[in-house]
Amino acid sequence: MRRSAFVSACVAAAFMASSFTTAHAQTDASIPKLPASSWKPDRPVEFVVQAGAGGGSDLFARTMAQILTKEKIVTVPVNVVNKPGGSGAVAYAYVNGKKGDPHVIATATSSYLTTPIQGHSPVNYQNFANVAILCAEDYVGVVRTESPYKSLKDLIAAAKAKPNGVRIGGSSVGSSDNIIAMMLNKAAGVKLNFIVFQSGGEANAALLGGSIDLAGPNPSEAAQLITAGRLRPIAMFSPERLPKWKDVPTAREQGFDVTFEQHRGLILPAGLTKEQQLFWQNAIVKMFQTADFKKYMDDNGLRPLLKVGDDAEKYIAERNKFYVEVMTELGLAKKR
Amino acid sequence: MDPNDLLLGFSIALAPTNLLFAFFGVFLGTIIGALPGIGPSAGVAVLLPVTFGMPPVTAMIMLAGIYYGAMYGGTITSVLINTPGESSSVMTTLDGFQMALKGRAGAALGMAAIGSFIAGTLSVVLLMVAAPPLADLAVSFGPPEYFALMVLGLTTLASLTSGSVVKGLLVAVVGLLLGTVGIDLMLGAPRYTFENVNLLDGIDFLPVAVGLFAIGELLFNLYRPVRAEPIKAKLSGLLPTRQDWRDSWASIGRGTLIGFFVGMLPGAGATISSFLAYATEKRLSKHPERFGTGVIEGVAAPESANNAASTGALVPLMALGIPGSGTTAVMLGALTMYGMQPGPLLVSTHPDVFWGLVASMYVGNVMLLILNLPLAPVFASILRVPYSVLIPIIIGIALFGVYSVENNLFNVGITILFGAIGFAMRLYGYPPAPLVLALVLGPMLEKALRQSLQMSLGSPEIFVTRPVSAFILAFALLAVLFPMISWFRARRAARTAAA
Repeated sequence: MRRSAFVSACVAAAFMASSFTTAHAQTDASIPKLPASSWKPDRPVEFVVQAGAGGGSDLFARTMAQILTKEKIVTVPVNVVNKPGGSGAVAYAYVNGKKGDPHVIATATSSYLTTPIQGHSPVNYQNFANVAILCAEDYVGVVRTESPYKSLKDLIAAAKAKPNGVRIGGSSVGSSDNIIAMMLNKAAGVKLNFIVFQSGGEANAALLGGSIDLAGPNPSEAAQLITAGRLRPIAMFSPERLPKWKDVPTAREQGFDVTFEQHRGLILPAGLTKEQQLFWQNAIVKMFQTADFKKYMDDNGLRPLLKVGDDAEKYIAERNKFYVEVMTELGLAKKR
Repeated sequence: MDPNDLLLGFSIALAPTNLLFAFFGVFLGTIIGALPGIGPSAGVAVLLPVTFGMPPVTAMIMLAGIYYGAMYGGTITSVLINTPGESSSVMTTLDGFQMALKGRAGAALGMAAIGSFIAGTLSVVLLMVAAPPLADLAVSFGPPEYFALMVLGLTTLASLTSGSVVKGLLVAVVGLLLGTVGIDLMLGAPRYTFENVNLLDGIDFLPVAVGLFAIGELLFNLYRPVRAEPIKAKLSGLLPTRQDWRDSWASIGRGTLIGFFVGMLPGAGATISSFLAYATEKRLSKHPERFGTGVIEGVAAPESANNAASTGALVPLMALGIPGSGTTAVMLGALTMYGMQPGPLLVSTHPDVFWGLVASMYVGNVMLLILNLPLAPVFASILRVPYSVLIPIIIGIALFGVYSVENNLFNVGITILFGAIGFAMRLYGYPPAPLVLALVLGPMLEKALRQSLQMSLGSPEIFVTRPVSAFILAFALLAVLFPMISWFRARRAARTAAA
């Protein structure tokens, strides 16, 4: 028992060192200088969202579409079109069918990478131009106020004493919560009992009702429940403490090297000219600097993380490598 | 609750702009509910961008108006053309359409409007006085309790349709099987998707329902006209009678309670509540055999329930920031969009939004009653249009509606396919309602079962050691045993009588 725990801790340490330290901390976004573009859109732009209306990605897209129009960065109408389904597979198959069309742009978050890795999508990130990364979401470990766990250490100690005895809930396999649970298992040599819900909301309800012990929402999602004294934050899964959440220690500080972030970016269909790509890069950089977009990031607890063109491509390739490792570890990656 | 809060609410709700947008909301909601193929959640989502730039409270008033307005409107197509506009109206088709065939469409629509008004208003009172403690009750419902509730739902399936029980159960099993299509929630493995990305999320309720009910019914009418002649009844004779009211008032009351309490459970919602309300009425009725042939209680109960449920779903949204249904999830997104953090502090940090919304719901329900009661005969008179004119229009609207929900042609194909299946089922006397209900319940049942077993690490004890789940399961067992026992008794009595 002790031996196996020791071995798995060693394996975990080696694994962490090799792969889980790819988190990118960037507090003040450096604004890239880009040459102007000679091309501009001449008919309405279709802004594709890989999720339904009212969700995080939809809000992301609608905010950007509104700013692009309001600030006259794009002078043609920008129409947001929701193509939910198949964890992004439906939307990206659609965008892939628009090869060479510069009037299509789409939002992309982690499902853009994880769905193809699971073998659920015929296209992957290499089929698109990964034009920009804009921001990153952090995650916070929360328990309900009645919970006996005051810190991540308490929770891990309980999990050590009783494998599978501590329950963590999250939305869908391969989601941020699932990845955090797996990374905690690795880092602390424990086995948390991961229970899948259909959405973050359902997981939060289960947490408040005591059906699960731990959940890992975004800080902004949990903010009110924490302020109202219903939930207690026990660890931040970011590399450093967040400015707005100074008194919540990171998991790393508590001795568990677990950091995880989820990016939000934009993609274009493949086969665009250099000038067309440059137009969108310029537009996104301009949009990023507006007060409205800063307010959006602030309201939603998003960390600025601006990368365009080659930098964005590089970031996506790195994240993909990270997710391949994680999904393989979770047994979710499709074997080739 | 401070009466000043409600006064504040009414001062906001009765402001001319808010009154106007409440009216827009309930009016659009009625239309969205009436259009086959577009449900309230798609309706709210589609109209969400329209609310940009409005003050948050005005926007919420309008969106909520669309939501509960759609519950009123959903009745119209269920009654007139046997097509539920959303899953919570499926039960209404059973007796509502039969009433329409007997020329009593106006009575069905009128009673549904009255029932919805009473249910809507009473549940706003519950929302107003007891949202926080009720929300705590709702979240204490864990996966084992959901499982028990779904089992109870399934046990009532057999009793839902008149005619052959075997045929009803058979199509329910087909519905359960269809519900297994899509990504396995617990393991992430695709099931029966045949490498088609459109099947990864499973088969949606809406295209199946529109296909089976609307298209199937219409095809059948072309084949063997049920109603060759348009209805010729007088408009004035189309309102509910005093007798209808006497038959319905208790059903409305029970439907309201069932609807509100089931509706506030995140994820369970309006569908299962309308379902349980109908089954309850049938079980309590002195003449259960007449259900499915056009009794007014069969319309009043589920219509009251689905309306109360739409208000119930606002309880966890407003008190905890947790959406209880697809539509409230969109409304949650809307709140965030207006720069508000939904959660337990919403009522205290934005009292104008909460109380304005509550007050507007009283006003909105009155508007809907005024709108729907006189309109019931007008809508009913749609049936005066010859079928040959009506059919192509309905098919066009239905297919457009199905497409618009996800902007996806695949669902249009599903609708047409299930239209053909629906025609065949109609031809051979297989009822469509158990299929679509099983399709809705199956995935919820499976999810709750597997979550519970994951919680207990595989031990089924969890279902009986938790008191609420044990109680509901015992109730479900009774629901199955009771008809069997009474059947045996009746048979023995018949034998003794013969001997």
